[in-house]
This record gives sequence, structure tokens and C-alpha cells, in this order.
Amino acid sequence: MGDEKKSKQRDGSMVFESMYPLLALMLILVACVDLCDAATVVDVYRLVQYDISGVPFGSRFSSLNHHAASLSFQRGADLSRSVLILPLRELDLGFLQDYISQKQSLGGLLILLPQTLRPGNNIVLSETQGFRKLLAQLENLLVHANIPFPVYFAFENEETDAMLVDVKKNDALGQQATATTGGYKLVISVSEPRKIASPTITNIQGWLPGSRAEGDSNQLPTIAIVASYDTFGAAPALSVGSDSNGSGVVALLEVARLFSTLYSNPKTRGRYNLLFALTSGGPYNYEGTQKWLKSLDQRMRESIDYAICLNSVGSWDNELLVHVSKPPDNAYIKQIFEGFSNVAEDLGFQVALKHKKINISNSRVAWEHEQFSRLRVTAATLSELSTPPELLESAGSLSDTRQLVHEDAIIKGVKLVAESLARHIYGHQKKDIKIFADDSSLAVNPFNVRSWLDLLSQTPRVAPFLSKSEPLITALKKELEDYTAEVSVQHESLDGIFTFYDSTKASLNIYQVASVTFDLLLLLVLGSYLIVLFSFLVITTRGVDDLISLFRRPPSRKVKMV
Amino acid sequence: MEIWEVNQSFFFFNLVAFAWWSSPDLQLALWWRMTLFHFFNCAILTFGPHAVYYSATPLSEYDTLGTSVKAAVVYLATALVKMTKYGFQSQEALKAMIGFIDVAGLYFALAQLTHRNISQNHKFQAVGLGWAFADSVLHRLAPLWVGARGLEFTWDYVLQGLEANANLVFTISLAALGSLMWLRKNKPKTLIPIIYTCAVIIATMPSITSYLRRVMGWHFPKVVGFELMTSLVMAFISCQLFILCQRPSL
Repeated sequence: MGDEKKSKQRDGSMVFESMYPLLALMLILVACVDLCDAATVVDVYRLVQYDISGVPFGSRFSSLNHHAASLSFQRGADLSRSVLILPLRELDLGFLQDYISQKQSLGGLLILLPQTLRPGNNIVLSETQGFRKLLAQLENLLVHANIPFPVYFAFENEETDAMLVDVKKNDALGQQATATTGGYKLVISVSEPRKIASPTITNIQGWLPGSRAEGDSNQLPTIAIVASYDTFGAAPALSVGSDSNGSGVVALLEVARLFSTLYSNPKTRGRYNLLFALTSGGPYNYEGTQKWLKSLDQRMRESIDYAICLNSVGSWDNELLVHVSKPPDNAYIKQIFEGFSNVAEDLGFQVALKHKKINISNSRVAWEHEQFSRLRVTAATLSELSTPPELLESAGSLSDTRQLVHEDAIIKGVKLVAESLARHIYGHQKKDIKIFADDSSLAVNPFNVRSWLDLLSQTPRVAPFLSKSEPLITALKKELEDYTAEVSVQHESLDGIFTFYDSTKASLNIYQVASVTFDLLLLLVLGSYLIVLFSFLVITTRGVDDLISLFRRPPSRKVKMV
Repeated sequence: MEIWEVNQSFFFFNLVAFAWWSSPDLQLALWWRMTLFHFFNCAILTFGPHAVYYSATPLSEYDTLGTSVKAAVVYLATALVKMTKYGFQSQEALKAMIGFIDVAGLYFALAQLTHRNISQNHKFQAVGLGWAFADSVLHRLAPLWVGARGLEFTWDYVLQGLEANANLVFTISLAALGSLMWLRKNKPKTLIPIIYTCAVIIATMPSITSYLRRVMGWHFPKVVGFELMTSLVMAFISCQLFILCQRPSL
């Protein structure tokens, strides 16, 4: 019986022993996996980084690994290894301006924006009005400065609020978060930003031919309707540009739809060709428009009677402005403007004419129609903006969200353009006719306007970050294909003075870390606990004498050696 | 290592750490080191008591390491059996089964395995120690390695270490009661029911804690506190029972 037991034991222990390597392997594999899980992960959007003729602008770095600090820090504290967290509500623009202009070093800057400014969030709150002005000033400051530390934008949520409260408390106590005092650590681990090699701009044009009479060998005149669809803002991943120029794109698409309905019937097809163009490169002196015009056939270009450019038609009330570069007493300009003002009168609002001369020596192109004028094509820009925007301004800033745009404004703009075009095409300039009446089959479709506006308000459209096969470009192309006879897409590269860098979006990990002091303290406590446990066990099992003898051993050993 | 040596190295380490801590430039270099510091702290909390127990009590003198190792192996085997049982049983029967399998494993380790001539006194301690150590390694080492090294600080791993301590006391008490139940033949009649009830309480401790956590909604710190208290109480009771049972055989 003893042998049986022994053999059974041997088998049993062999099984157990064979399990050991398996378990060891499992432990090693687990050990190799270095999981770094943060309690909080937040989406953050980086400030734009670009060069103009080699001069650097924007935030030049992207990765971040520092402690969090708030504005309540002690004066004179060293922030070069901290990330400053600034909610928009508490923004002190003067302080930031000083910091940047004096080139003081900062580990990083995290700007917290209210949730209402998030693309896709359509809640209209009056409190955001005050923010928009502050935000515009902040963007202006950041976009035109050369910032040697990473700058990120994020939207406030409960976790960031809780963290900020904690950080402020610590800072107020004078404990600046460093390795010794613990606190919060913000980590963004991305690779360093690289230049975008050859950014492409994509122009989409749709051609709607008019009806040529029998025996008429002359080329039909063309009217062009143009809008630039790309944006530029402080945070390219958030630059949705609902008003600038999402409203223009929506208006163009709706006008195209109306005329495609009209032109689908040969009996109502006008004697004018219509050319619809969605251009890119708008914020960069309308480079896309220039390239598109130059790529057009010379005869086609010469056949253009006039062009209407749409720029920001989404948030006006009573007055829309017509900007021209030819003098107002020019016959063509007079004709166009009269057409507009007649229709506007019927529709119940006003249009005003604004003249801005082109300065050939100045490379700045403030309005899209100036690109046409430089090639001697009559053009005008329809816009709610009264002053020409500066370079990289009003092109889709952070505050330009869906809430800024009213559909009615766009619909009124569509009616203005469509009616005046139709009256010109069909020769009804002086007559009191409403072609696109509200309850007719040619009425402006508000649902179409709304759905395209919503889509554009959720799609950031900064041109260097749009690939050739971007879904938005495909969607716009498809929409124009539905309305026009011929659609062509032109890809050009954005050369010239602008250079862009990638890395626009990242994930921020927020870790709550314990200080070194805490770890040392814990070690002390544990060490003492183990020593106490040891002494207790020695005393209870072997007696107090044994414990004392443990202390007495060294001297006795020394005595022995001697 | 003698006590005074331990104390000296401890003091020296603290001195080095203090020097490091006070220089801000090296703070950055400290960072990845810090993630291992917390792991080290929790590791010595979880596994230190086992080593201390072994070295402090006469177990080390009588070379009972073999017994502990065998007990650890038996524990791993019961763990494997428990894992295979998961697929077949329903929830309520499962809990009862787990307790029973644990007790069965402990019985096997105590009664069936032949050890060298060790007194009963040391046998149950060695078995309990090996059992508890295997339990800590299997259930707590992997989460500790994966989790405690991260940047994010939580109290979870310190609490887990305290739980390991409570578990050690529980296991040794259970082993003591087990040895009383199965290895000692002549026990005072009055004490037998007490012995059995205490053993049952300790054996069902896992189900009690999971009940407290899930049904009563106790948080982890509360549960660990409860475990520590109960373990001390149980250890005291088992100690008394053991002493009382030892008298007649003298």
C-alpha cells in the first residue's frame, strides 16, 4: 500500500511539476505587456502649425509629458515643466500675450472650451456671445505668434472640471506640482509634427449648358457662380466654418438645384450656360480660384459674362453687401447691382454696393472676385461682411459653429441670387415676376439647406489636411453631378508661401500620480510593519531571549574573530 | 540577514532617496523609477509577511520548506480543479463547491502527503504558509505587475496587499483547525463543535466577502477592514483551541 501511495504521489507531483513552466510562461507573458491605463482620456485638438515663406507660426511642438498647473500658481513659479490649464471663462489675454511675447518657457498650454462650441452641438445659448469675441481675440493672438510649446484645445467635461478644481487647490496652497508633491500628469504621446509634403487643393466645377437656338454658331454666354469650401482656423481639426464658408457652399448647391430643375426642360432652358464652381484654397489668397481660372479654356473664360462669388451669407438680417473691384459706374456693374436691388426690394431687404480697388503690387487677395478681375472677368462677391477679411481671418474660426448660422438668411440669399440670375437670363429684368415662388415646384427647399448645413458644420475642411479622395469632396462632386451635365474635378498643389505641418488631433491621458514623499512614507510604514511582525513572531514562538540574542550576535562574532 | 543589518540598509536607502528627492534636475529621471517604486511597495506588503513568518518562527530552523512547497503545489492543483468546474456548475452551487474543494485540498495537503518527521505544531504552519503564498502569487502577482507599475495611482494594490495578509492569517488558522480535526485523535468532546464551526466560517470566508461586496454593496476598503478584523479574531480563537487541545496529550 505504501508503494501504491508513493507511485500515485510521484505521478501527481509530476503533473504538478509540469504545470510550473506553463504558469511561469504565463507570468512572463503578462509581465511583458506594459499596460498604461489612465483614468481619464480626453480628445484634444492641436493649434495649427504653419510657415509663411519660412517664417514659423503657431505651436511648434506636439508631444506633452508634464504636470498640470492652473492660473492660481504663485507668482514667479517656474512653469517650464508644467502644462497650464486655461478654461476660456477665466482667460486672461494680457497675461498670455505677455508670456508669449517675452518668450517665457512653458511646458504646454491646454485651453478648455465650453461644450456648446463643440461641432455637432446645436444648443443655442446666449452666454456664448461673450465667448465668441474673447475666442476671436485668442485665436488671433495664437495664430499669428510663434509658440515654442504645444498648445491644445479641449472641451470641458466633468473629469476635466474635477481635475482643475484639484489643481487649483494645490496651486493655491503653494504646492507646485512636481515629482515631489504629486498631482496630475498630462501625457500626450504623439510623434513630432512633420511637414505636409505637397498639400493638394481640389476644385470641383459643374457645367450646365444653355439651349442654343437653331443656326446660332456663336458661343453662348456663361454666368459663373463660385464659392470656396475650405476653411482655416486656430484648431484645424475643429475648423468647420459654418458661416465662412459653409453658408456659401450650401447657397451654391441650392441655386444649382433650382436651375437644374429649370434647365431640365428644354422649353425653359435659358440662353446662358451656367458654371458652378466649388473652389479650395480660399484662405490662402484664393489660390485655388486663380488656378482654376487659369486652367479654364481661354474661350470659355472669355464667354463668362459675369461671376457671382458667395462668401459668408449665413448670419445677416437686413443687408447684404455686393463687393466689386470695378468702379460702380461701370455699365456691367450697374446692371448686376440693379438686378440685385430690384429683387431685394421685392424680398424685403437691402443690398449695398462696396467698391475696393485692386492693388496689383499687393499679393493679398481679400475677395474671391478679385481673382476674376485680375483676369479681366467681371465679378462681384455677395457677402454679409462689410470689411475685407485679413489674411487667415474669418475663414472658419473656433467660434464659427452651426449656431451662428440662420437658415433663413441662406434661403433669402439663395432667392436673391436665383431670382436675379433668372431675370437676367430670361430677360425679365424690369418685371415683377417671382420665378422661384415659395409654394411652387421651384421653391427653395429648406430641408436641403438644413441638411447640407448640418453636414458641413460637422466636417473640418482645412485644405492641406483634405486628401484627394476625401468623402466630403466625393459628396460635393456627386451632388453637382445630380444637378449639372458635366462635372470635373481639378487637383492642384498648394504651392506658394504656405507650408503646413500635420498632427492636428490627439488623445490626452490624465494620470493622478502620487508624490515621491508618499512612496517613501509608505515604504517606511511597511518596513516598520514587517519589523514589528518579525519581532512579534520571534517573541511568541521562540521567546524574548531569542529576540535579544539576535541583537547580540555581531559583538560576539567580533569577539570570536579576535 | 540580522535585524541590525536590515536597519542599516534601510537607513542608507532612505538617505540616498532623500538626496535624490531634493535635487530637482534628477526628478525627471526619477519618474520611470517611481512607477516601479509603488510596485515594490505593494509587493513587499503582499509577499513580505510570508517570508517574515518563515524566518521568524522556528520553521526555518527545522527546514520545513519542502512541506510548504508541496502545499503550494496542492493549492495550484485545487485552483485548476476549480477553474474546470466553472463551466459546469451554476452560481449558487458553485460557491459551495469552491469552499468544499478548498477544504478537500487542504485535507490532502495536511493528511495525505507524507512529510519528514515534523511536529504537528510546525506541520500545519508550514502547510498554511505554502498554501497562502501560492494563493497570493496566483491571484495577486499578475494584477500587481500589470497595474501597480502604471502612472495612475490607486489604493487598490495596497488594499490587495492587506487582503493578502488577512488571507495568510486565515489560512494558517484553517490549517491549525484542520490539523486538529484530522490529525489529532483524542480531543475534548465539548470543543469539537466549536472547532468545526470555526473551520466552516473560515472556509466560507470567500463567499462571505463576495456577498458583502455584491449584495450589501460594501466598498473594497471596508471589506478588507472586515477581513483583517475577522482574521485576527479567528487566529486568536484557533490559537486558544489548539492550546486547549494540546493539554490532554501532554
